Amino acid sequence: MLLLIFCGTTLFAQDKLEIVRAGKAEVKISLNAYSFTKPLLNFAKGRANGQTMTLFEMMDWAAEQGFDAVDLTAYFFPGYPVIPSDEYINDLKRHAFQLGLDISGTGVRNDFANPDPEKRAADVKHVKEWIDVAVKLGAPVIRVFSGPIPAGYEDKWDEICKYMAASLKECADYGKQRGVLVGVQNHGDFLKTADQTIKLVKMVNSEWFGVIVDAGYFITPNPYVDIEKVMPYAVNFQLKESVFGAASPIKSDLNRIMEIIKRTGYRGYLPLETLSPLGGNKNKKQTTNTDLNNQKPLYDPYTAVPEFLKKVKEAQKQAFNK
Amino acid sequence: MKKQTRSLAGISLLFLASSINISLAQDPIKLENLFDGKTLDGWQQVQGTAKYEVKDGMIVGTTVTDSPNSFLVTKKLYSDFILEVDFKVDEGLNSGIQFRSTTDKNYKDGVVHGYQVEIDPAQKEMYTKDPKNYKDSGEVVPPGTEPRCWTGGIYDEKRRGWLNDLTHNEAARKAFKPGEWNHFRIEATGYRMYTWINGVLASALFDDMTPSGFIGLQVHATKETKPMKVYWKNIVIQNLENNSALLDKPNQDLTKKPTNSAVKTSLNAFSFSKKLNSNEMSLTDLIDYAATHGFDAMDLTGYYFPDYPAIPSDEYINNLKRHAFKMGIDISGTGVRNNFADPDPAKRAADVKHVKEWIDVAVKLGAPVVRVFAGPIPIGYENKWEEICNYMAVSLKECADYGKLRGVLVGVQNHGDFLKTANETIKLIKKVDSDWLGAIVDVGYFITPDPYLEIEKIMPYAVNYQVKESPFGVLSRVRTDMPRLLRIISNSGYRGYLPIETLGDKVLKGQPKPAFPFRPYDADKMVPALLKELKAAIANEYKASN
Repeated sequence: MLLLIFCGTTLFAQDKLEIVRAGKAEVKISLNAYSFTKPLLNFAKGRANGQTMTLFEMMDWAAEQGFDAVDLTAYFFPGYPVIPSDEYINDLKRHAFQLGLDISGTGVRNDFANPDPEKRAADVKHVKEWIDVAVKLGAPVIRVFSGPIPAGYEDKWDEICKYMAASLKECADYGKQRGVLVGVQNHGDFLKTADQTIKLVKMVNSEWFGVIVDAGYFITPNPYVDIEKVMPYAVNFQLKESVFGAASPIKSDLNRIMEIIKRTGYRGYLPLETLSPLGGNKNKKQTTNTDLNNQKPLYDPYTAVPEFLKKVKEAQKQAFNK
Repeated sequence: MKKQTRSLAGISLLFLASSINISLAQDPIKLENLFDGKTLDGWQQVQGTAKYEVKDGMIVGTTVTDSPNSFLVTKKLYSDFILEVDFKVDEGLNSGIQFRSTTDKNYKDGVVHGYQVEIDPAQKEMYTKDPKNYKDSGEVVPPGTEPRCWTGGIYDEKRRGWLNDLTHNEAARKAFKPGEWNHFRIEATGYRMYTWINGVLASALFDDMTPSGFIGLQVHATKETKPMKVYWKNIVIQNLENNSALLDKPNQDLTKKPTNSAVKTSLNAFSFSKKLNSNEMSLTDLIDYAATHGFDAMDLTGYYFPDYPAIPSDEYINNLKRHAFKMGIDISGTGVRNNFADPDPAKRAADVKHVKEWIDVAVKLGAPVVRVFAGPIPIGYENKWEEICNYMAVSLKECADYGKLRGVLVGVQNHGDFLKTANETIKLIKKVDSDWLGAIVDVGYFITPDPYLEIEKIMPYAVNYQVKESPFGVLSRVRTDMPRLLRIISNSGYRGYLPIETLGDKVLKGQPKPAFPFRPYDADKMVPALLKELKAAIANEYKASN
């Protein structure tokens, strides 16, 4: 009898993981702070050399460009990973509101693929702390990573998945308590495909847990197929210039992505993230076939973001007549 | 001779306006006689050969055979108005009153088309067709037992046919008096159209196909050789165009300024007050409604949380927040009940405590701003505005300080109470003097001759909005001039939400029930219609910048 009830709830809960949305698909365009990594970090870390930008300035810029929202990655809060003061968070929140910008989400650094339980516990603690920040900020969702497959664990995907799901469940439970969704990003690391991502989501099994759909980080022959597959679990997005990784010269088919969004009924934010083709993550280089050693293109978010935004808005207009 | 007639008409118009006064309507706009009682000045026959003549202070229409439907129409076009008219009609003659009607040579050879308030006097001919008439009890009226009796229904002449029949309105079907004088009241304001037959509501139609046109008196085509007559008299109109003389539009600089303004739509939960209070609808349902109808956000007024003013559980708040997020609906704000005009410090302190508690709710909900009221001026304090303002500012400062601590803005709404003007509102805001306090701009509650001037003035302090159907309050039939409002908002550089709030006609506190009839409240029709109107105005105002 008890077993029956237990099975019943489990099944019921699993059905509820797929988000059923009322109304027609619709997206709001957000700017992921990560696009301005360099000037934001220069400021946050107090680097004297180079261009700096505060999160306040980034929001001013986003409002001018016509974004609906901003995604405020945690790394750019001064002092990160130290928790910012209420005053700082509140001022940031008010500034966004007065600019007519929503805060579509925030995100942290973490690694739940790490086999060391203590390290994972420390990261769970950090996610929880940042969930508290998200509450204050009015950010509805917090992005976490899965993490890279540790050396020696190349064939132990399922084993990692189990302990990772336990960590993520702790985060989601705290999110439930505090009213913040937790979303795991497919980051080309432990999570390379939609199936892997969905498997993890189902293992975590929480209505407070979903997927941050990274359009540029499914490591599969046809990432559009993976994007569509994972959409029912989407709680936020990262739209990239190429679905094949930062260094790929093949541009994302934005019309196709908009059609996927339309078909799957997604209603939510579409944060854009532009990346330097020579950016820090090793995975990016692995996934591309271009030799970038000769000519290093200068990445300038002040021009890259508006160019990308224009294309995205055109595709949005075409798909949603907006 | 002609000149004299005109001046006589002018005198009778003045007389009429003062004698009928304002009992027919809320708005202080003079009533005009569409028919001077003596001539057909101002009218023209645009179709058919039925005879129209003036006799004993009446317009008399007489049928002829071999004519299409005949129309005597006003030379002037009307968009928003209240029309009252007496009519009498021979039993066998179908007739009607056109409004917002027109002819267009490219449409069906220039035939008169548009809205018609039906006059359907047939008594001998029993109604047998579909759709069937229903009794109030829900029973079908057996075919062939009663005449149709759709007088007061709205028919789209030579276009879409019946828009509002009386199949489900037994009272209106019974209200028509065959062979006697009957009275119509016709209200057309924006997309809202209402008719009353002898004081009984007949039609309530929401439609926006044609905003303006002539008013016309129909004599229906007939094969009957014996002439039949229809009589009209006391044709009085109140022209409610939203740029009426009440408003000082020419004195406001409305040239477009280059700004970075951007707005998002939101739905104020108050619009669904009745359904929320009766538990017919939950806040979760309302979020689905907002998503389905294409709102960007929702304003979740505190009253509709279960057990308000008790603080809801975290679980309830969190689930609501998550649901809104998953539906792609932002939470643009929330609001509370409070009265900071109350002279009793203990009562104000209790309300400050409540606002603080609700600021905590707002944090959990992710609502960036909490709407508070000023409150009504207490009895005996009519001449003590400054005194009230002083103690009110202290209470608001406490709220704003707590808002600062918790990261939630506090906005005070001009609610026609203690705050009637922009200057009063700004004075209060300056006295509170906090970066965390601003104004919730209530489009419908500045009690001044031209509220748009107030709205412009208050814009630099705006932290949220309430867009209403009328700038003159719940009973006004003068609709908000959306293009003008959006221009003011855009010129101010405002970036934020524009929540809409629809309201039902109601007796205002301390006022007697007005002599004019109330329109039924129908949020399911009013909310989508107002959103559509607002979205069209937004698209129009912001098209250049996108």
